This record gives sequence, structure tokens and C-alpha cells, in this order.
Amino acid sequence: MGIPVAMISAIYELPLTTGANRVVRGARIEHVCGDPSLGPEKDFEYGLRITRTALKALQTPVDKPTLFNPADMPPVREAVHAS
Amino acid sequence: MRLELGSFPVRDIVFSNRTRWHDGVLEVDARALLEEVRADSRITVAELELARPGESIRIWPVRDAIEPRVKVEGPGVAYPGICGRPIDTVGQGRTHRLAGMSLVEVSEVLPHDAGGDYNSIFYDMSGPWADAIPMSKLLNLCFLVEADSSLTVLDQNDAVHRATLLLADKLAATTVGLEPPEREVFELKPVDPALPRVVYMPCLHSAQAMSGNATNAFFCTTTTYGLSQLSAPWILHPNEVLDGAITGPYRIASSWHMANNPILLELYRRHGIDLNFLGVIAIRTEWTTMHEKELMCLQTAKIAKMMGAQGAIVAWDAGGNEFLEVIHTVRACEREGVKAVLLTTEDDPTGDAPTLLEPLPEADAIVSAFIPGTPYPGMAPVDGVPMLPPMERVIGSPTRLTGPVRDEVIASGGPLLPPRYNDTYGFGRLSGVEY
Repeated sequence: MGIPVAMISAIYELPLTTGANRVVRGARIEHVCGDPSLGPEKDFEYGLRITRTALKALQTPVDKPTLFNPADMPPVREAVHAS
Repeated sequence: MRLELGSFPVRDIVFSNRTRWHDGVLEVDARALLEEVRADSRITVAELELARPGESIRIWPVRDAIEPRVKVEGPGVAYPGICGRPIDTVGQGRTHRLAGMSLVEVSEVLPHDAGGDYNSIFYDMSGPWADAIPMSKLLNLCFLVEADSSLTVLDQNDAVHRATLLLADKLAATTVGLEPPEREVFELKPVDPALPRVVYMPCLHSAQAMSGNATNAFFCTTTTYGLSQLSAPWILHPNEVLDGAITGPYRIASSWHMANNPILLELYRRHGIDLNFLGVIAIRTEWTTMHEKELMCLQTAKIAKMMGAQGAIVAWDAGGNEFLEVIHTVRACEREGVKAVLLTTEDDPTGDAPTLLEPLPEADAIVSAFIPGTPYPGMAPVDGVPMLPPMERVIGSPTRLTGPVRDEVIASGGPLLPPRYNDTYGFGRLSGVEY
């Protein structure tokens, strides 16, 4: 059993081939959990999407090294932004 | 493309009131040469000292080492493109070289100011570290050079390296008009089509990502014709490499190393004998997404296949995530049907980790060029840690910074750990074996 781990990595092939179970595709080596070139709002949204993907990965049963792609996640809007 | 390389052996270097090469002795008028260097007002320190093989000397910090070369026939200049030099395609005609020596750029100037890439290389002229590196067998004319620290790091880089190249040019110019005592002709003539067709793939680190600035990466590390940016694979004729088309300061990969690259020379000398040397594909490394890294590898393999390669020698110059481009190039080549041999140092084998960052089954032919961290023969424990012995004299800075946050000052001439050894050029006599 143990504690599930999701690893966010820009160079995701490396953890996959070396046996990490849940790997989340990060942005770039320089900024794994976001992209400052998008501007503050979109950067935050992108980072949130990556983080949510990691949380989803933690709850997903896997039997081999598996890649989770934030692009596959539905877009997120925080409740405070809902009108 | 035909290149004649004329060698002028240097058996001794003496300081003199003129600069000339005569009968194996290089006379150096330090005063006159340094006066020309100081004409660049950015230069604050300019001195010359000599280190001979076997002496108890440590040279610190080493930024680059250059073998003086000059083109006496054919287009372009030796070491083209870097620091604003002409970019005409080199590799033809005749080039003269001063053999058995190097001009060592000894400077505290960092390659960029983004952190991470610190000066780490020193040469010992005797002892265990000297035994491991080719530079200790050379007469090293050490050029101590610093630039105005109020300048940007980029300008400091330009100033000190331009000054070193100026000196190298002046020294090499002593051979112009003289008949070289030794000559070797390099030409990729058509050969027996049955011979196996081989390419050489040096992987060259780019500091673009780490420096955070493509302009900073203009010449602060190993360049191709002056460029070190992340860029698509470079197809080079081996003659271009012999004329210094791959040049610049970067850790153990000095300009001297690249121009004297034993893999390239060995492939060349066996061309038409037991193999068909097709050329060089130089690959930039330290791209920062999987997309970019993998694309470079696939494209490199494609180019090799288009060139008709059946075999590739893949070697690199760095450490860390750059290894993905390296090992994935091996994989991509193998999948294209191009057999690939990887020449690499290994990672520290402690902690049950694999000795390669990403071991892939396609990398089934690996030449190990040492496991950094392994003590060299002759190192003795200091406080329980095997260290290189102290040297009597330091050429360069008497102190260096160390520690996790680089706030500890230690004597550079004292017992030290050796620099990480990334000689994947074939100079070394060290290897890693399983037993």
C-alpha cells in the first residue's frame, strides 16, 4: 500500500522509464508548474490545472508507470469567478 | 574539402624580447603582447606565466585552453565566429598549429550571472589529477586575465576571451611563412563502398536555458561558429572541427580539447582503412521540454540515416538532464537502424541508483570513461576524504569559493577534490569496470 506519489516533471519520460508510478506532465524545466509567459492569470490557471491533475493522479489506481496530462483535464473555474 | 594541418612542435617556451617560433622553441615577448591586450580598456589584469609538465603547479581557475592555430591558406580564420571573428566556412587550405602547448585562459569571469555555472576546472601539472588529464602533458602558457567588474558578465566574457584569442593569434602567427616540420592531410576521399559508414555525434551543452537568456548564450560556452544557443543539429565536415569551428570555454571541454579531439582524429585516420567516416552531427543539449529534447534526437537520427550512416559514436560534455538528449539520440539512431555507441562518464554509483540517469535498453554498447567521485590513484585521505595533494605553487587565484552556498573560502593550492571529469573525447586513460 504505502503513500501514493504523483511526480510532476517537465522531462516526464525520465521518471516513467525509471519506474515512477504516477507522472504528471509539467511545463518546462525552468518552470515546471506554470508558465510565466502566459501572464499572471493564465499562469495561475495553468498551474492550478497541473496541480489538479496531480491530485487526480493520486486518486487513480495504476499498475504501471502512467503519464497524466494536464491538457486532458477539463478547464477549471474557481467558484468565486462564477457569476 | 581538403585541409593540410602543419604542426610546429613546441618543446620549450621562453620569455624573450621577441616573439617567434624557431626550431621547437617558442619565444614570447610578454611585454609587447600584453601591451596589445591592454589596449582594450576593459582589461584590468593581463599577465603571462608558464607551467611545465611535472612541476608542482596548480592552474586555477581555468576557463579555456586554446591551441594556437592560424589559417595560412583557404577561407576563414581558425576558431571562427566566436567574439566577433569571421564566420566564413573553414576546413580548406592549410592551417598551422603550435603542437604540444596551450594558451590557458585563467580568469574568474563566470560564463553568466544567473548562477549554477561556476568555474570549477583546474589543471595540476603533477600528481594524480595531472595523470588523468591531457593538459598536464603540455607546456601551458597561462594567461591571467580579468575584466572591469563593473561591466556586464556578457561584456566581461567578451573582453577576456577576445584577449585570449588575440594572444593565440599572435603566437600562431609566428609560423606564417615557415615550412611546417610535420604535415598531415585531411580529406574525406571516396572509399570502398563496402566499408561501414560512421558519423560522430558530439553533444554540446548550451547555457541558454540556465542563463535564462539567449543573448547570454552567445559565446559563454562551447560554440559552433560563435553560437551556443539551443539550435537544430549542426552537420559539420570534420575539417571544420579541426579549424576550431567548435570552440569556446566550457568546463573540461576546452577549445584545445575540441580541436584535438581523439575520436574525430581516429575516425579520420581510419577513413578508407576499416571505416567510412561520413562526418559530424553536433547536437545541442539542455533543451527544457520533452517535445524539444525528443525532436532533436529524432531529427539527429533522421539526418544520420539520410547521410547513409550505419554507425554513430555519441559523446557528450556535461551532466544532468542533458543526458536525455544523449541517450534518446542513441535510442532514435538504433530505431533507425543506425548502431550507436555511447561514450560517457557514469554517475556516482552510490545509493543503489543506476550509474546512468536513464538507462535504456537500446544503449547496448557503452564505453565508460570513468565514474566521477572515484578516487584517483595517489589521492590521500584528509579528514577521511581522499583528496588531491597540495601543489607548491598556484598560477591564478590563491583562493576559491566552496560550500553549498559558496561562502567558504579555501586555499586553491591546498588539498582539493578533483573537478568532475567529463572527458568523453577519448583522451583519458580511465574507465569504469564492473567486478
